[in-house]
Amino acid sequence: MPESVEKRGTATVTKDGELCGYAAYHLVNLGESRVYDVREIVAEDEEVFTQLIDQVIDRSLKDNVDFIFARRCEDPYGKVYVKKGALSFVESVIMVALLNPRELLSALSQETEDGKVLSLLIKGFDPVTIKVGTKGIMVVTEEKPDLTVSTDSKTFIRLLLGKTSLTKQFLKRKIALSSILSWTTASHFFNIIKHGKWYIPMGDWV
Amino acid sequence: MREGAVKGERGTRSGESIRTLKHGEEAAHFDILNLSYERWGSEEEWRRRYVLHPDFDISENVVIVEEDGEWAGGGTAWFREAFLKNNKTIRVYGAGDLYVHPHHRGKGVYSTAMRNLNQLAQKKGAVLGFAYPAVYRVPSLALPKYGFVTVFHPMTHVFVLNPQKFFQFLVSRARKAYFPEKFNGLNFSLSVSFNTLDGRREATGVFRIEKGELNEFNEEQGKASIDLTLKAEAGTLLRIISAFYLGKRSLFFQVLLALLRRCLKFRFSMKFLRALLGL
Repeated sequence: MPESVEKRGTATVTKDGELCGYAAYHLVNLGESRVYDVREIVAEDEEVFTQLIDQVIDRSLKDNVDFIFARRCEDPYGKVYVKKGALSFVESVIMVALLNPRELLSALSQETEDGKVLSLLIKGFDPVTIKVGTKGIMVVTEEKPDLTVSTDSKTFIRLLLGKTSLTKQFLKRKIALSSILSWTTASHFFNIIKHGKWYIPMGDWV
Repeated sequence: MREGAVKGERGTRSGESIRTLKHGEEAAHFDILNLSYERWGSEEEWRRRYVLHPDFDISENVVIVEEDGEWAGGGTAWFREAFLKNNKTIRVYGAGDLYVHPHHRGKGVYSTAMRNLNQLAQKKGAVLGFAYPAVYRVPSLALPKYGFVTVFHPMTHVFVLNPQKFFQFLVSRARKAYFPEKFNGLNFSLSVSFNTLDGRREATGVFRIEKGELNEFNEEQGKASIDLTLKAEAGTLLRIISAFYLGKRSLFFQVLLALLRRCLKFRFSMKFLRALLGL
């Protein structure tokens, strides 16, 4: 966001001398408007989060601010905004592209003794062979696959980030298995690699 | 290889070449960025966002597309370490501030820049790419062509203390938005109500869509007929605008909900209906 920062501030909440949450904000001038832009807000529970919001609103009134923006990639205490009378809307989206599935799966690998071997075919990339064990996965090179899973990079990303389910994508024919009998292995594989929660610093996406 | 050339450049068309920014070209790059975005922001902000990051080098991370030797566009890649749930890290990259010089639009310069950014990131070991486009601007529609898929819809929360200023801000944002061509030539009046600590307040404006952009009415145009009159509560309006860009199902649901709650009133002409239905 192009901005002209007039002032910076931090609101904090402590209990028994320990920090329980903080909010960092800028006072910026956007055109003719004076705006508080909350760049980061972290709280250990909803009560602390509410206190932080109250502090920011109080300070904004003293600074003669026209409106306050607060954004987070994922909102664990999103209901507090509604209770406090904030308007909420979607202004931007976060998009992800797969560039190297082998490196990604290698980073998720751990030593795995037993398990079925899955060949993952993602359109546009070389196949990756993975041993799927009970507790983890391991990228392997010389083992013969027991099953093949074929998909495209966008479906893979959405499964990786927990934005869809294997069943949904299978029914939409976005993902194919060499044998339906391998369903349990494929489902287990996607459960292991799933990263449903991400924290993305706001400085990168606003 | 010439100075600043991207190794193994591919995905260029005849007359196009790719290179990276050279030290000493920062000011020129910044000027083109401001020209292409009409106003991108301050040089201080550009430095804060990119240059001051310890892992950023303008001669490696800023890609420039040239057309017959002329500076036609470009884009910026920045790299981060992302933590996985097993505490291992992967290298990811952010694609941002892609721009095309106004004289070179419609020639595929954006495509060349985006493809080369992805290639550059892959060569530098990035495993995933991230992009953060505004929902109401063209890149959110264009990026899927380059492998990007929408995965998060972060919410923006706003506490409005001065409704009139916030309304002006919304209008200034809307003027940067892309409107489908089918709405060109439509006039509409907008009345937004806010619940504030001092009671209910209202802000109004009259607009016209031309060449996919929103313009405020001038006096002469003010005599023209209004194709759509909208009266809405501010929160409802913002949710409907978001839904408009997020998809038809979401839009239908939000409009229906707003009508049932009586937070939205509208009146429209046949011209608007024909445009909406694409007839």
